[in-house]
Amino acid sequence: MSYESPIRELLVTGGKTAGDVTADICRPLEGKPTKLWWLGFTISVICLGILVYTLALTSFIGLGMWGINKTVGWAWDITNFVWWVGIGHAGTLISAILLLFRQKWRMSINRSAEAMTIFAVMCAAIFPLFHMGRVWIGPVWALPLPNAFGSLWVNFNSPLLWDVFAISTYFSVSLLFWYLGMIPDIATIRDRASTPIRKFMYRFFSMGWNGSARNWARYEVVSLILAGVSTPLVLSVHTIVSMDFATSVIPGWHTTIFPPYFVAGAIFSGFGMVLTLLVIARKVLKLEAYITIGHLDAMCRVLLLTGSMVGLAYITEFFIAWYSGVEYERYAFLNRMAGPYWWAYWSMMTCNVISPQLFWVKKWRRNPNFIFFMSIVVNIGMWFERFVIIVTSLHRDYLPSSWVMYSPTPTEIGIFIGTLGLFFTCFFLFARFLPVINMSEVKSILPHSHNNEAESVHQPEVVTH
Amino acid sequence: MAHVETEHLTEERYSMTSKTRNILFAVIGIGLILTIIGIFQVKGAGAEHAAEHAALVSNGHEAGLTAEHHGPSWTARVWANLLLNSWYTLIIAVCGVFFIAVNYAANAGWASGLKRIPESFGAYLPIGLLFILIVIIGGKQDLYHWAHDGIMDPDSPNFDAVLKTKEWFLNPVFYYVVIPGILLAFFLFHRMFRKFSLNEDRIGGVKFFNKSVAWSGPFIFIFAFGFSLCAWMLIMSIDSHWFSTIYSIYNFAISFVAGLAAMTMFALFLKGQGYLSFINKEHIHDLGKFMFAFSIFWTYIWISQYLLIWYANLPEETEYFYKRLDGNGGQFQFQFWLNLFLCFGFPFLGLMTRNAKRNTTWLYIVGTIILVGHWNDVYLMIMPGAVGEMAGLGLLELGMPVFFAGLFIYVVLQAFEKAPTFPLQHPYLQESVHHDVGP
Repeated sequence: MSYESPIRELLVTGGKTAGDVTADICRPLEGKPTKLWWLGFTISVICLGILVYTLALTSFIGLGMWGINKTVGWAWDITNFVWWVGIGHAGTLISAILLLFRQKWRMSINRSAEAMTIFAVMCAAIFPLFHMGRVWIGPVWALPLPNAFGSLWVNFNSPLLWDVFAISTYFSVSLLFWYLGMIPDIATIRDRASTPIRKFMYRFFSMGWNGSARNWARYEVVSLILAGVSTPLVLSVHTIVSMDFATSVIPGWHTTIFPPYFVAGAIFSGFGMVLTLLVIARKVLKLEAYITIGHLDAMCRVLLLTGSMVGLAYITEFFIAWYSGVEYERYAFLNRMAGPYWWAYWSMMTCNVISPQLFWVKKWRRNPNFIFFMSIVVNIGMWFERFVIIVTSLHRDYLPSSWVMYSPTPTEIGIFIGTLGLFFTCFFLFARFLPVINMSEVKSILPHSHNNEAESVHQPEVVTH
Repeated sequence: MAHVETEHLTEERYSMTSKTRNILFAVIGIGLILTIIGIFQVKGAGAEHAAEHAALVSNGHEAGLTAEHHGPSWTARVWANLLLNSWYTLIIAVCGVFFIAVNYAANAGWASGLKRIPESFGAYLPIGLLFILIVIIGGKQDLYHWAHDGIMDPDSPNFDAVLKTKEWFLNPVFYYVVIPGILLAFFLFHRMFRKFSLNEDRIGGVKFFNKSVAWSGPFIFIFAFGFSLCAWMLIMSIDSHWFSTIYSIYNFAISFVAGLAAMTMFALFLKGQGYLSFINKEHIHDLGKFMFAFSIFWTYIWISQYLLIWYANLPEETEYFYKRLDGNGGQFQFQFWLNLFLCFGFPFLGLMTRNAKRNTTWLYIVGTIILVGHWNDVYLMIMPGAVGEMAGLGLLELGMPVFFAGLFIYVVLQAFEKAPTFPLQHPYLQESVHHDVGP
């Protein structure tokens, strides 16, 4: 039994009933797609085509199609990899960590955030896979499989291998969590389906859900276990991504703050992308009563918090680089700020640290247009963060004769745009065929199912001695 | 869901029983006596050590070395202990203010009934600041290698070119002005939150609640930066040449988990005395979860630092762990591994089940282990660098923590007496009263 203070904002507005919830959330996937949907979907599919084309170029011709070179061996590809993996983190944070913290506002955004996680991890995986060169055989070499080369094994000491395990586990668990959470809702859609093909498909994917007490009991047990598993996972994934860099001895990469700093940055970028998607989705799918201004406000606070954490990490890194007195460390950070890539550094600082500070103002945290703009700024800023860390630390190495500049080729840019295409294609399909909000959970937080209706509010009486 | 009645609560005030007071005075007294005996013991050992060195010098064994032998003297051990206990209690106290601010910022209701406990922690802050001032003024030469004469002077035989590069931070302005200023700011923030809370009791309404929420964000912001500077200056600079970017977060992790353990034990104690009757197993369970989770968080930070330094194997970084593991013939090795057990292994296994987090006696045990463990943790941060081979675990190391524990508990309970035991007008109080963690 829980009590809710009358001063708390309602999580579902507009006096919705349980029936309204089902109707509102099923509507977009039961009617005909709108023109806007077709437009967005078409653009995304075209971008997806670019992905196929540029990846084919890379595979047939080789990595020479990319702008990387001997000094800058990691650049655009790994930047995108880390950017996409980071974006995925908000989904798991919302579904697992906020669940542990009993944050009920997560219930109307967790479904789409989890979907985003899965699509983002798919996009991320493309980059290291294709960076291996021979993509038809590389992934096999990345796995610890017995092989015909005698004692040739993967390097278990390498954080890159840990990454293979971390990302694949993360993807599997996120997919499972997302799909299991959706089964009761898929069953609802199945029961409402009117055409045979819809009936068949939703029946197949609802796995015989009948809403019995036994079903629910098992569902809840599995959900809790998966939440427990996901919580350390979300931290470990970006920790290991950070170790791809931090275990090295490269100034600018090797620093002990990297694990928590990368996790904070990942959550920051993930919430940026969640806001980009949801500010539009709530409008287009008419879900303003479920994803309220209060939800946007809460997410902006998370942006403010994690943006400031990232800012603290930047300043700590710089401070310690200077404090260390190590000239290589000092140079690496000076080079970031004032070297040839100064514009990337200052874009990162502006987008990630300075601009989120605007969210101290409550009015701006509650203005969807402003939030949408800021979410794009955050996405850009976090992309630059990875670019700055990777490229500026590499491009001037210990041997000044090998100092070079890096710039992306059209193929690399094409792959990046292509992954955006893949991401949005998946998201458009998701919004078209699956419920974007967890209906069964949202029904449990409807205002009338609580005691906080106006008439039942009693302020505690004060008795002083 | 059924309608939940708001509970009718009346104001309740705590008054320290004479028994509690006498026990605390006794603890403080015993701690003080042990500390004084300990100091004399350490002094005696120091004299022996010096005599040994003198003998070696006269034999010509260490002639070259001794000319500039700045090995820590016995006073270093005393100062290092004072720093250890001052810093440890101070970060526990500041955690109280931080915990309140986090609850406001996160809009959390469940802990509002417990709020007066962390609020009372803040009363220790001026005393903690006083001890820190004593340490930084009195113990400067003994604790901080960078503060020795001539270290920053190129013409001096003691000149250290590496430390010279740190002079922009390791200087009297930061040391005497900025750091105490930050600690003072923490205290002023505490006073402000306290004032809001007491005014809320008196006047009611959501005005003071809203003010507290509005100031909690800025406090957390200032806390994050200020706490980092304090950790770097007061603790990290002991190992003057060494540096680690995660160090401030590591100190924060200690502060938070030790603060939570202290809060939990205060809550259990006050409940045992018959106060805070609405605080039940549900709240205790959540505090247990917090202790569990932040013990893991501490371990995460610990392993991030250790693993990355071990992996890269750069001499200027591994120096820190070398001193703690193999230095002086493994002098600190046992404590180093014990630390992982006390701060991670024990709370991790001990708080895993639901029943463990709801069992009063067991939580006292785990809380004590966590507090002792992190005392050892801070010991390992300070002693190898400041005292080295002269370090040890004697009466001094037993007496001083006992003294500080007694003092801390006394100050907190005294502050707890000065206000009602729970904030009657807090808008989330009823949420706390009806708190339920679920199955």
